[in-house]
Amino acid sequence: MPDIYIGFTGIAVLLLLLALRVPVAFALFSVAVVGLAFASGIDVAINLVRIEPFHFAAHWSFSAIPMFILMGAIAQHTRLATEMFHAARVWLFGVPGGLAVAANFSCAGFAAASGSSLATAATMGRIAIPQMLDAGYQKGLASGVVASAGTVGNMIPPSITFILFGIFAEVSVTKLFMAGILPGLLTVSVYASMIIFRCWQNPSLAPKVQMDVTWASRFKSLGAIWPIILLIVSLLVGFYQGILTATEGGAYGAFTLLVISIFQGRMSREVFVKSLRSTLVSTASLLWIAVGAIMFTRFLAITGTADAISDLVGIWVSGPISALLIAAAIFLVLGMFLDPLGILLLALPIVLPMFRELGMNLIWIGVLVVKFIEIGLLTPPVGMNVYAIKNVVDDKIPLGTIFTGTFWFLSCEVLVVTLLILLPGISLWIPGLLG
Amino acid sequence: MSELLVRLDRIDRAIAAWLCFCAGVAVTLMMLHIIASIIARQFFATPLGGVTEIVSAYDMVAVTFLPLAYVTRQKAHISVELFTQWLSQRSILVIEWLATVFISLIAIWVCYESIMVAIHSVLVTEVWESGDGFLYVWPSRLFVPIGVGAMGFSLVIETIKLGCKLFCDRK
Repeated sequence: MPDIYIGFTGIAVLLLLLALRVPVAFALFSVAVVGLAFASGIDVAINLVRIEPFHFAAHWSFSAIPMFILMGAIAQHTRLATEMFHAARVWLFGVPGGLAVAANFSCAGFAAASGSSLATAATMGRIAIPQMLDAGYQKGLASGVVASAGTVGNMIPPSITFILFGIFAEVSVTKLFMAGILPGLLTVSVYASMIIFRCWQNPSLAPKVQMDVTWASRFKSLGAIWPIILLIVSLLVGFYQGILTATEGGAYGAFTLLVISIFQGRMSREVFVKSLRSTLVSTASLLWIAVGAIMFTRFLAITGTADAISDLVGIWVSGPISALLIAAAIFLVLGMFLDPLGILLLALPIVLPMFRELGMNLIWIGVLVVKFIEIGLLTPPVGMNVYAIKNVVDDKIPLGTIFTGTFWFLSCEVLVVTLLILLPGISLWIPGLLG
Repeated sequence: MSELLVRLDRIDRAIAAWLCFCAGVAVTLMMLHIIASIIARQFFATPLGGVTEIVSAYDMVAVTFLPLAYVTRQKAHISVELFTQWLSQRSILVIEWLATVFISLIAIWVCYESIMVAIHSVLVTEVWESGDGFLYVWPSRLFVPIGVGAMGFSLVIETIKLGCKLFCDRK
């Protein structure tokens, strides 16, 4: 059988194994090894198994992942989200749909500290949704805003999705971080404008909350979160100035957040152990998939499947826009049933050759891919962020209502994606300043 | 579950927890090591030697492989459940059992192959060239078979548990 057929059969078998509940890492790993044994002989396959796992893990650029996951886990377990929501609430209570707008911005702030969309949605959902429901907010709006704003965790730096993309696409992670700033801010701004407009048009969506807010109480609310704001700003400046690499930024973020939490009395031995445990579970499961993904990438390369995909691109894809549409379709379909990082690691070996063949800017592509993944987190039947919110609200809000609530935010995403495609400068301006 | 299985499960839990603790120490040391390196470079203009190599060869390998048994016990391996949701409970159990048998065999095989590599590495006392000299990396080669082997053990226990549910608890 020609190698190319083995490659495409491998892709088909991979999909079959995934459908049969074989974990993603093992499915990628086994298809790569068996496929290589058929294509290049058993010795090549065995050598790959012996060499690749250690060499892949023993990689300096991957060390950014556990560091940022640790930073996110500390942020998640130290009540940081409560303080952020409280501050956003007192500053924004006067605008129509103030609590929803506050939830939107505090999700963005927490996403910057945690780097994870699911953690942002789950953590902010526990805090913001009950308060919005108590204030008489429409259930769809209350749940939809947290589910949707939670997705910006992938875009606003530091983002673990960008780190993985950078490693696989061999582009600068720092530039990807910088590229995510404006699209992330654009997304939350469009969301906020939509919420304010809808609530202004139909005040029954979000009844006005009576609060006794003074300027003193506004500034007091910043007391607990200013070190975090300072940390995020210093991280971005560190990346921008080239003082910190991605790994150093992760370690600096985790360590500084740990010290801040200790000084603010939020850190205990139990909280630290809990943070470490969740860090290790996320890191090991993610890197184990990454080991499978790199072996699958090697398999596609050795069998010539990656080149064949590039050739097919030449025939089927007329230009960058059709390539982006194909990528959007792949990511949105995968987003219907997979975790965001699983989607990325599964799809990158297939879509990257296509973008490379077309000579497209991989920093811009990184931003768009992350945006597609964010949208996939909201689309039925299995928008992961929607399920994260469902877990939080339990029986208080039906699943259908949460999906309906995200409809308005998905409409905003269409606008944001269109802007990002038509105006690449939104993504490329800040990285361009880095040289 | 038989008494033997209960005992094996307890041993598995203890191994997973202990390896997870070791990985926890590694991730904490990684953070402190990198912070020390930033401080040394920024404030004393003296970069610490070998940070990249030690973090890569030891901490990263420990963090990637040692918690795998714990990940398995927490059922935190990412998989797709959408396509089997409409099946009966028993059919799902059969598929889950077959998938677990399959991945147990993979884990055991990877463990075997990584033992071969680790033995070779120990015999030749493998080193990496680092800024100031050489770094022994053969000890970290052992993390792969230890982590993957512990995961294989957890998966075998899980296979037996699922098999018991499937074939013994039919009533």
